[in-house]
Amino acid sequence: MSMTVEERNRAVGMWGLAVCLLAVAMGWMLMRFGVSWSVADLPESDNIVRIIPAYIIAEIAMIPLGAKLADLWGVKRVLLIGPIIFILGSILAIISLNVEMLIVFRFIEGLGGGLVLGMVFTAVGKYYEPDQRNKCHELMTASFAFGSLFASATGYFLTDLINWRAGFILLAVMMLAGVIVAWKLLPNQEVEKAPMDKTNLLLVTILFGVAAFYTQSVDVDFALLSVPSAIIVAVIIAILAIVFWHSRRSSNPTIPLGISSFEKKLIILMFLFSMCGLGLIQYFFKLYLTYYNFDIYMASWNFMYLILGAALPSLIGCKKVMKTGVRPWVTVGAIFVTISLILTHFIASEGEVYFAISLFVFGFGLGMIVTEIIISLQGITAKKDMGQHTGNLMAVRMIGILVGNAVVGSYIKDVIQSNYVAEIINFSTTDNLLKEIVRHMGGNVQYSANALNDGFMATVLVMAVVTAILAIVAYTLKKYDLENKSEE
Amino acid sequence: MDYKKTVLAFAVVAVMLISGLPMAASETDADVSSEEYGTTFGIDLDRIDAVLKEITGETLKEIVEDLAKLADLDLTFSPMIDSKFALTRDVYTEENYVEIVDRLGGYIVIDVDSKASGLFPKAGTYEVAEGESSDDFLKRVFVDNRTEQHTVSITATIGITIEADVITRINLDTGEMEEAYIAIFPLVSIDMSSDINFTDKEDDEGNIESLAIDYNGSEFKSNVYGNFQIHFDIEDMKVLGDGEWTVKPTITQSVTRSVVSTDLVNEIWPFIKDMIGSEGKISGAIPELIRSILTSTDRKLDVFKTIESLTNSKVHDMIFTGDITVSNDEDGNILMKIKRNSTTVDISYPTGEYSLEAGKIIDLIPDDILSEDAKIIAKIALGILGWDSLDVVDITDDEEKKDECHEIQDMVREINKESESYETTIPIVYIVITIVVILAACGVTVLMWRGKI
Repeated sequence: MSMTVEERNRAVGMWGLAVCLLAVAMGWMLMRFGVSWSVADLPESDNIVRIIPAYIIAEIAMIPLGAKLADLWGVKRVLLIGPIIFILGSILAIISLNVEMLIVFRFIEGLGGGLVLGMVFTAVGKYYEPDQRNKCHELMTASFAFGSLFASATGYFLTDLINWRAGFILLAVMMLAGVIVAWKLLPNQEVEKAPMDKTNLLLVTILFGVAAFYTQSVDVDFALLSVPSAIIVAVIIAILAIVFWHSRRSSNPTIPLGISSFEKKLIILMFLFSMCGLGLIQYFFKLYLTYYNFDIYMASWNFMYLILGAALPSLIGCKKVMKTGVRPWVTVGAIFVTISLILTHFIASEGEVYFAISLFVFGFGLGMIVTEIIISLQGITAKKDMGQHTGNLMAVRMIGILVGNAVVGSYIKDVIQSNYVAEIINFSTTDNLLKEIVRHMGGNVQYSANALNDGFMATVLVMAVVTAILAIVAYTLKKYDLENKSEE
Repeated sequence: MDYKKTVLAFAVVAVMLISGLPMAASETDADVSSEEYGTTFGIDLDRIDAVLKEITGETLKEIVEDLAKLADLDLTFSPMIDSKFALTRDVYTEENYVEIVDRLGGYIVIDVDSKASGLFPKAGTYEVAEGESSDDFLKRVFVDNRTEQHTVSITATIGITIEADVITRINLDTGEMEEAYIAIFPLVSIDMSSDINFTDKEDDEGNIESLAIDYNGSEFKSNVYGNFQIHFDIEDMKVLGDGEWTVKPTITQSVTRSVVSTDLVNEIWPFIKDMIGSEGKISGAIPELIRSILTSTDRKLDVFKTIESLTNSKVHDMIFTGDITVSNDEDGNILMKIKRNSTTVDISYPTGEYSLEAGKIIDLIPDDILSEDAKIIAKIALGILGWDSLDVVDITDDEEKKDECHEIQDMVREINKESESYETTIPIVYIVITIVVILAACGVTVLMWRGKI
């Protein structure tokens, strides 16, 4: 089937957006592996742990804003703002003289990244009709997946080969190239004039920012079950209440109100699948590193099994979802995710082949869920409100991933690691004291690997139960997406 | 009149209050008492020459030049050695605790400038022959192949600084030692340049396979630096009181800081690898990876923080225990007998003035760290230097000695601080890239805004 010039331009323009998205996704994980090693040429600072969260918090806070601005101003005007902020943040990061400067520039980079992320997925809904969105969404999902999954290895490679600064140059150049292509080839769109409720936009931005801050601070600045933790949760609930209260009075709210139970279920499913699925991916990575082979490239290579597993069901699912409805895909996908988590629990630590099989099945399940939900939700959303609905779904998705990370991390840290019983070295009876100390340190690292394994394996069983319940919830979904109906 | 009396009364009360404040303050401080003990020691070339002259009849310069003559080399040798150390002890008694702060700080600088003329090995690469021992190989290269006339200059500066702090805290109510803290900052910097260059090739077991020699000049720089701070929480370690106790303390060690330089990692790695051995429990390739990261660039890294950053796991504390018998002598010294397999190690831990028997300290070093032969050599060296016995005397009222001690220690601390400080310099290429990308990004945005793209 041949494409018209306009269609081809639009498609290539979408590739430009995909490159922008790749840069944004890479920003998440670029320095995650050994951050204190990466920036060892900067003066020592206790704030080093904030380098990664600075980007994540800013990015998630800005997702709804980027999407909403795409509604209000059009996709191309957001292209004028988001990418330049991202590029400035990235490029200024490389001239950081200390960790604190780097944190600030990473935050700025995240602000731009969030605007781009919210806008890109909205752009697919705005430029394509529901039955044409599948390929474009697959492209964006693949771009985001590749960026997130391989950024750690890329960052490590560049740091080892040149300097950590090289990674930021790569991000800036990718974003610049992507935005030029997208700007040049994407068509202009008519935008319906609508008032901008700045207060509402600010409130929603703060809401997601604080929520992201919480996920990044728990277990770092305070324990999950602690007074500061409870206070921040209370603050989030209070802001949420204010957002709802304010949105009801707003002529053009940033978060959609009065949505159907179908859409609510989609948002909840997206959150929980992100938490139980995407949120675990990082721990697969760590598990491989500490349990099998401490080789960043091999650990990253394993993600290919995940991507291969996800590719086929995603290709078919995205193509068929507007004909079959989202229900069968999410239901079957949830069953596969459940199976994969059970497989992970029982066989993933038996050998690298079993580990790869677990990842493949995990990807196979996720391939039927995430993109299908986005397509389904956009299928029942009017183009003029595309950003409002998509932005919130994407922000919820990202928060879900972070919550998954935090829950698993917190469990492993608090429950398993705190059970560590140190072996006591008796200097009166030990023959070779130094050898005993070194052996003990080795055992210490081994314990951490085992603790990660045990903690992860216990968590995946809990997650398997949750995804099994989600399969039932998904089965109760009605066929509103087939009827393009957003209101019951 | 009444008014004046009132003012006067207030003035008197005010003066009393003001004059009473320092008295009250000094009463508060009365619970805290501090004593200071210390000594300085050092060595210079004159001292070494004097000792050597007494033993051999020659100075160091003469000995080296005579040795060179035996090898048919015409050598001019100009050494310079300077060294100063200060050992202090501060004892603070506050309420129910006594805190003893021992501090050693000092440096040794060795500067050598020499020039040798004569026959040297012919430039080229020498391979170890089949079945040839290392001794035979070296003899073949350096004795049999001395056929080329050269004048070779060697200049070397070796700087060693050491700073060590030991703080112990004893509860006077229970007589128990509750805390100890050890901080060690060694720094060894070597800067050497020579007209002769040796490049050896070794097999996996460290045996020489070949040696290449050329006369194009060589430079060698090494910076071995460490900053190790370890805190110990101690339980059940009674050290004060009347009588004798057999204790089995629990000593929980936590590493506060473990910054190392790349050169230090390279230096100690074979030792660690040997220690891990085949019985090592460390998972997969973690040690090698950590080493490759620590040595990947010329940067100073905290080992523990790096491990934690890579594995996302806390490196747990280590717990020690052992059988110790403790008693106090009539001078208030704490006498400890530490059982170590079939032998018992005696340690006298004074709480005030003391005489440091350096030779005895060397005896306490386990043989797996320092061999018997090495200990004998070390003790002889200490004896020659006059460092085998150091009297750390009361200097509480000796301001001059205090200043002398503190000056040396402060200087060493300053050098160590400089060694760890980072001079973050951004390569010019990154600044150029930054400017180019910012201009490009802003330019593109403006062009897009104006519809030119």
